[in-house]
Amino acid sequence: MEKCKLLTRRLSLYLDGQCSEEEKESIVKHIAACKYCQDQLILFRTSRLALKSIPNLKLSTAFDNNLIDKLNHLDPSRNKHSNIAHR
Amino acid sequence: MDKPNDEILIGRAKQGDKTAFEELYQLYKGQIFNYIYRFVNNYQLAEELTQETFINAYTHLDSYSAKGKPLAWIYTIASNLAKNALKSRTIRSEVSLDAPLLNSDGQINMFDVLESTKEKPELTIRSKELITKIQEAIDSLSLEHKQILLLCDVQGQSYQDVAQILGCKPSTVGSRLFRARKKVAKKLASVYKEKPRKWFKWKNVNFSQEDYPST
Repeated sequence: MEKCKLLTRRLSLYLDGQCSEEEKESIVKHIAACKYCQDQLILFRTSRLALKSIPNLKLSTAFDNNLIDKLNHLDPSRNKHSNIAHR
Repeated sequence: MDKPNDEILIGRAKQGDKTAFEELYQLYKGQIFNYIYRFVNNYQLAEELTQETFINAYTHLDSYSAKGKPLAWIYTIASNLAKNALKSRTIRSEVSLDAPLLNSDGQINMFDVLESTKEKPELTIRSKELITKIQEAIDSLSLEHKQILLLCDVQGQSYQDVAQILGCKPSTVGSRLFRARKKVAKKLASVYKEKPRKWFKWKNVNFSQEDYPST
């Protein structure tokens, strides 16, 4: 399939809603007639969805206490208020 | 009572209120950790760098400028640390979710530390193999492209916020993001075409309606 150098870059902006109404209209018109850009748009959109959906990991249970201990020992001159409580 | 916003919290923290800083930390620790984890692909190192991020933020509160968002400022610190770590260390890449790894709790399996779900995901990734492939695609990017892809497409930050994090114009974010997406899409194209139903459980996703509105 012949590549469409003209528009592919703008598809990414279109996907993020970063185009003006005028640009959006011209892109939509172009996509309807360009198989290459249709495929690219689906590919970009699938990738974006997949990236957005990768599961998050949890921090280890000791993480909070370790960090809070370190913060409590830092720069004591700042410690005008009460220390951070352990959770 | 309404929760204080980030600007108020960081303002209080700058005045020496540690509990305000802890509120910020509790709000964003998970987000920052997951950003760093996807960046360096190493659980232990991601924990170390997350800790370093919040310690640096705390000890450099005076360098926070009220012109920007506190979260963007924290992302900037995290980004710099993650980039420097990748430049300076040889990291054992954890390409397999089954790979055993050690953290401060002892030895764990990656699936033990997965959070249950993200809020209302549009699709559910069914296969750990796919997560591995996505991570491999992320790992193949340059540091610059990896950073922009993670911030925009994984962390869901806006062009404006990413421009603040990276210290560039929103238009630069758009062009870098395009190049990063193109590389990742190329890597994953064969995966999507292969067995989309095996990899994903789609939820309310209708490509034809949204992508071809004029047809």
